[in-house]
Amino acid sequence: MNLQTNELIDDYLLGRLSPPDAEAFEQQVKANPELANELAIQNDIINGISNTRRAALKARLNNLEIPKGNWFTNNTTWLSVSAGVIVLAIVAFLYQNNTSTTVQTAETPQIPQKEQNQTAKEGASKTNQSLPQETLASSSPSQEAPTKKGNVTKPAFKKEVRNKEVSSNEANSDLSDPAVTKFEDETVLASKKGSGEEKEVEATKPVAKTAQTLNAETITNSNQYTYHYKRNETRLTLYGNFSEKAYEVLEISGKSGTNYFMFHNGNYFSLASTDGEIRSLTPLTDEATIKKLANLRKRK
Amino acid sequence: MDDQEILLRLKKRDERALDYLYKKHYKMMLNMVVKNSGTEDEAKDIFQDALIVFWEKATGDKDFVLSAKISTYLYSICQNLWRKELDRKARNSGDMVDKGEVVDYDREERVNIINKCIATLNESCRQILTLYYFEKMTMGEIAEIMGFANADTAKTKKYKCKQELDKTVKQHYQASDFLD
Repeated sequence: MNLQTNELIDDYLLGRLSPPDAEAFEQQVKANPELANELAIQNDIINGISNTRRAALKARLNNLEIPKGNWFTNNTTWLSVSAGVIVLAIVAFLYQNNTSTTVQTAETPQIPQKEQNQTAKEGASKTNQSLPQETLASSSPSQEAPTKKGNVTKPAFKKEVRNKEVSSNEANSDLSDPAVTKFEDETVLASKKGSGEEKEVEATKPVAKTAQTLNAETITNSNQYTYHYKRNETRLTLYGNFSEKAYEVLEISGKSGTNYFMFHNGNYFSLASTDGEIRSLTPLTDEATIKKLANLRKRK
Repeated sequence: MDDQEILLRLKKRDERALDYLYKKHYKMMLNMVVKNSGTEDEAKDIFQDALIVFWEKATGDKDFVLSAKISTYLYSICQNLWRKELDRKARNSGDMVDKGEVVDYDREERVNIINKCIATLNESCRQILTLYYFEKMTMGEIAEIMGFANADTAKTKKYKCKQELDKTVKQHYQASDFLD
C-alpha cells in the first residue's frame, strides 16, 4: 500500500472523510480484496492502540483512592494494606547441563533468609513508607519450605513441555516479545512442578545464579509521570500513587534471565527493563499470559 | 471546579480532571449499578468505562459542548453500558439456545499479535500513535506535546512509527499463517 492509500484508510477509519468520499472509498474496498484486507488489518491495529490507551486510563482510575465514607462497603482486602513493596519469591529457576536439571519455584528460593529480608528492607526504606506486614509474611512461608531433590535420567523434560505449549498456543510463541516468550516457557515449567508430575531433581553442581531482588522506590509527586515506571537490572522506580493499594512484583527467573511483572489493582504489567527510559504502565492484555501469571500468584 | 472548567481540562487531555470526576461521582454511579443487580466490581468497571467514553467524546470531538451537567452525561452513559451488560449476560445465560455464533479465530489471532506488537513499541512511538489515533490530535498538537520542531516533523515521526508497527504485525501475522 502506498502512502496515499494508507492516509485514505486512516482518514476513513478516523471518520475524517466526507460522506461522499467515504462512500466512494467503500466502493473501492468492495471491488478490491487486497484493499479490504488492508482495511481490516488497519482497523484492528487502530483498535489495538485505542484499547491499550483505554486499559491504561482504567488502570489509572482503578488506582485512585476513594475517600472513606464515599462508598458503602469496606473493601478490607485492599484498603487495609497501606503501601509499599511486596516482592514475591516466585522464582522459577532452571539450571540445566548435559545430564541434570534443577527446577526451582517459589517454594525453593536460593536467597538466604537473612539476605532476602535485608534486601526487602532496603527497598522499603527507599519508598519512605512503612513496609507492610504482608511483605515479610508473604515471603517467609516460601523460605521455610523444603527443597525437593532427586535424580533426573534425561533432560527431555523441558523440550517435552515446550512442544506441548506450541501445539496449544499455535504460533503465538514465535512473537519477538521477549518478556512474554520467556515467561511462557518458564511458566510451563513452573506449572509442571506445581502439578506434581515432574521428577524430583538434584543439581550436580552449585546453582549458577541467585535470584535478584529489585530495589523499588515510588515517586508520587511527578506531574508528568502519573502511572509509569523505569527499571534497570536491579532498580525499579514507580511513578504514581501506589500508597493506597499495594502492588506485587513477580520475579520469574529462568536460564534465559529474570523477568519481572507487577500485579496492581487487578491488572498485570510487564516490568521489562527500560534502560533508564520512563515508560507508561500499560496492563497486559494477552489472556493466556495473564492466566499464567495469576496461577503463579496463587501459588506464592 | 465547575463543569466548564472540567471540560476545558479534559479537552487538554488533563488526566487529573478525569480523576476528579471519578472521585466526585463514584458513590452515585456505583449505587445506580448496585441497585440494579450489579456487584461492586461490576459497578466500578462500568463507571470507569463510562468515564473513558466521556473522555473520548470530550477529547475527540472538537465541537462537543455541554448541554447538560457532566453528572447527567455520566449517569446516562453508565445506564446504557449497564443495560448492555445485562443484555449480554442474558444472552449468555444457560436458558438461551446456542445460536451457533461463528468465532473468527483468524481475527482473534491477528488481534493477539497486534497487541503484542504494540507492547514492543518504544514509548515515544506508542505515545505518538496514541495521540494520533486515540486522542485524535492534530500533527501540530502532537508536535507541541512531544516537543517536535513542527507539524511536519510530527507527521514524519508518526509515519515511521506506524510503518514500523505495520511491518512487525505483518511479519508475525504472515509467519503465523505459514505455520498454520
